[in-house]
Amino acid sequence: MKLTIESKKVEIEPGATILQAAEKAGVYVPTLCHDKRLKAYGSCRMCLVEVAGSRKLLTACSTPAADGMVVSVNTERLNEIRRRLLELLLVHHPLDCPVCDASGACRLQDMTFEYGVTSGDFSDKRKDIPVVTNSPMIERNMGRCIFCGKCVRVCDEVKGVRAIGYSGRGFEGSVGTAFGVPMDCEFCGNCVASCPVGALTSKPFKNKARPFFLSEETSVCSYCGTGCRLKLDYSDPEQHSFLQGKLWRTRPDDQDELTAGSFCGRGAFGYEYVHSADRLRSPYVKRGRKQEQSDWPRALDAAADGLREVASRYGSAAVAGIISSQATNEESYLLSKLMRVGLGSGMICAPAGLGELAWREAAFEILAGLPTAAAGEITAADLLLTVESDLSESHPVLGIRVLQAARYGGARLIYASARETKLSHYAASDLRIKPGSGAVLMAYLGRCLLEKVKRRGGLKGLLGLGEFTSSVRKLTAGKTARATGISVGELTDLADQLDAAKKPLLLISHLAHETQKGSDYARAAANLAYLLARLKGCDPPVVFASEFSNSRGVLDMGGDRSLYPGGNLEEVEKIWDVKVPGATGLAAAELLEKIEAGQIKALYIAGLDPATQLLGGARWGKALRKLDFLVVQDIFATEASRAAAVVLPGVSWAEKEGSYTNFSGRVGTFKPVVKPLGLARTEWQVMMGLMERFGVAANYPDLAALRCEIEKLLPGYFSGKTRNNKPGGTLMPFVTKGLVEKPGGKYRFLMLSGNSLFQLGSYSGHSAALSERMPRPVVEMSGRDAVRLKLANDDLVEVVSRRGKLRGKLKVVEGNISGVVYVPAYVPGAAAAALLPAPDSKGRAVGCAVAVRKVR
Amino acid sequence: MAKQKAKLEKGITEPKLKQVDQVIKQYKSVPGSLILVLHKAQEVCGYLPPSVQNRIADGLGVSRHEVYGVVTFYSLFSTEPRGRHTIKVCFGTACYVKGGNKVAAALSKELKVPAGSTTPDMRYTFQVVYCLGACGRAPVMTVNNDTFGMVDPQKAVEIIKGYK
Repeated sequence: MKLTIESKKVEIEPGATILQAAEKAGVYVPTLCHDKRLKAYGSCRMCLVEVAGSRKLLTACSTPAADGMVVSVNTERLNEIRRRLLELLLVHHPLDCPVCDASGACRLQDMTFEYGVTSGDFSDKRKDIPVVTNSPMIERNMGRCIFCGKCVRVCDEVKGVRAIGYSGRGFEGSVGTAFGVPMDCEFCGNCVASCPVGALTSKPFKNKARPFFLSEETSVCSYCGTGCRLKLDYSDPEQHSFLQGKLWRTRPDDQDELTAGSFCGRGAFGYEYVHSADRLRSPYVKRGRKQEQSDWPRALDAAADGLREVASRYGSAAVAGIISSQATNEESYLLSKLMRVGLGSGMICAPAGLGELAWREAAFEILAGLPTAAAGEITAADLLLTVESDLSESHPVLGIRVLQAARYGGARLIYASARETKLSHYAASDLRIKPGSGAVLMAYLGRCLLEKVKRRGGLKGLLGLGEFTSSVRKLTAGKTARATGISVGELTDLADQLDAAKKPLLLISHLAHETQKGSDYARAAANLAYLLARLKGCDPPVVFASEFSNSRGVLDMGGDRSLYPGGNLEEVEKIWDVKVPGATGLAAAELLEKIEAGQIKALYIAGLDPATQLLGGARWGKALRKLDFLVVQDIFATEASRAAAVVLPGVSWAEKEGSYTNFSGRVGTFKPVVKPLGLARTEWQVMMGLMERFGVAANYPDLAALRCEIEKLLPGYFSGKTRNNKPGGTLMPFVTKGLVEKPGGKYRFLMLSGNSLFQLGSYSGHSAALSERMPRPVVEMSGRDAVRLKLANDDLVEVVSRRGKLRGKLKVVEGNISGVVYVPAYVPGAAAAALLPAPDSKGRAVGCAVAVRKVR
Repeated sequence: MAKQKAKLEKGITEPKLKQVDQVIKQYKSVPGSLILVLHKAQEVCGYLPPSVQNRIADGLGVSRHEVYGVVTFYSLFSTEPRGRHTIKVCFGTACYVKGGNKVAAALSKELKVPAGSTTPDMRYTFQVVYCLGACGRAPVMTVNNDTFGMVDPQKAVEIIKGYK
């Protein structure tokens, strides 16, 4: 289709709007209510254009382009109309720009300037409406509202939440909640980010900085494994000497193909930890029983001496390292090298993804060549099967894509889980299955597909077929129905749908704390993906959403004992020019046992707190105190850092250069926007300081040099070349493994735990806005159980396991399965980890039996 | 779930809510039926207090904020308890120039409440509206479903006295 816009010729696909054609032609059309994520609305009328042959003026945003159209955008007639529209908007607008947070980044202000509206023919009273401040995080200043409706539409069309609506009409019209109650939503911040004026504003940002004095840097989010690109707005004293260097806010990046300009609560309000008063500002070295402030040379000497002493007394295998899945690729690589070369110990693990749980199994599949589908494939799919995974909560931006595909993209969403969540309401089939039965469900579906693939002769070259076939032979529909709690009919229907779909996609999260998932879960998912690939003739259609910002990168960099950067030991030895100690799997659980048994005497922890972040947290707390020597590198004081002989203060992602690798292998790089706090130093510089003390060559004048070395082992890693795309695939035999701890007796509930919208890892707890939103866990329970225990919404309850307890506020979810309680994993002061058992060596999911009682 | 017994608003009773539930059930699967359901609920309850609005929203699977938006948008819906009789005085252009404002002032004085409110004895709800569609007989007022044309302040006061 060809058309002419402002005398420029442009060709565009049928179905596109005039606005899209203009964008392609590079012609600017002013808009106030348009957002590419939303359905056309046409309310602001700013985008009116003249089309030759049409007497009426047409809105470019909602009018489909037609072949041969001749469009004018900048005629005097149109500009006069735009000036009038702006005049009318400005009649009631409070014009309080001097105190408005949007000033300098306001569409109304910009357009008023652009169209030269300096006076108007109309006058009436200005709006003077009290600011609504009763919601957490978000303020509504309705006097400034221009009724573009973007916030209301984003909340509905993008997020599927509908937490705000229009009310009243005419002069009394406003955007808000029913009866003015405080907003109770996901606090994803997308309404604030989409507001073209200052009507919706962020409380943490209020009156803090002027947008025109802020600098912008494109970065990547430091929370979950989605890896959304974020814009960091910061003040730069080098540009404006009267400012203090600080990160002031984050904004979504609408040029990011992955996010399309959306973000989530953690991305929007989770940046405050960077300037938290709880940050470690100086190194500490233990003298006697007390930790004393130290300088860097002394602290690094103490750390090196301590580690060296243990290694020489007990052997290098007595020294181990743990690295956080929020550490950057570069740090992970250096720690891996420091441990292996400097200390000669292969005892290193990246436990957010370990335990012999789902992630380890899945990660190994991925590293062995199972490609993980990128976010775009969610949109392209016609069937989405999500099993015991609520991406809208654990990975909210992927959740947006799932919702959009299900609501507008014609995809069938099949949601199978023990919990009723937002996805339940938008699912074509909402299947409530017994907790931990997802593995069986997927194995059964694999069995059904096997027959179909066989009939079509698609099994050639698939390894492990025989073992897999015999392992699922007895897994009949009846047996699966009993295990999962859904009917044989539903199961058959599900298998038929998978067979009929053209582009099915499995959506799987495997978070360390999803206690109902064991290694069998990840295996069943991978098997099903391999079989679907054969059936549909595509890459294995599966999204394995990783938990933290760098869960995947840490493993790519060799952050686990049995993995090497690039996966090839010989190559590593060649590049490092040293013999690297061979190794077999060392999971966090094994490490814990070795510390308890006194076999590991010294530990280097980079960036996490085992007591609150690892399975068997209570045991970790004690184990750390057994160590002869503990070095903790972290940005906050933790239970671990308080037990450490040497504490090395690290920096947040906003203070350093680095990169994170997201779930699908996309590498997001970032640069420092603020100076390290106090004496804190970037982790990679500290690690280089230690490498020097161990005589390891570390000739990296900058991060580019280090990345260059990494790319020798992982070609193209930082430039986004696809890796690990080995064809084939191996089916693994399916063995149901069950749980380490089952409910029964006094502890009659099974506790499930996962990532929440507001708390993830240790950063969120130090971000004031997120912590205020979720100061204590929200404990979910089914309606039936609540009646039986005489509990109601908002009751304060105590969840008690054999190892620990936590207190939270009860939320009754009618549709949750009976016998299960669900708690968010990382709420400060109420870590689910403290209740959880440690995994065993059989790869079973841990499970966790708990009792629930009301606190009076 | 262990339901805490919610306090019911003025004039709202359990049997009335049951009737509302019936209406919700009847229209649940009909797309775009929100306004119809709100009308019927208002007929049953007399007005639409928060409990009724929320019940309808949850019952139809619509956002509570959307229901509130619809209720506050249309002047036909009331969120306050209404009197036994509803008086409407037209302030449309024709009625206004013919003295609609004087009629309203007289009624307000007689009822001792301003326009847009209900008398404390719950006998009258007194409203000002914009065009009742009978401009040829301006000024116009209505009481419940009865229309009165060419009224004046005195007549108007007499008319309402007939509604006990």
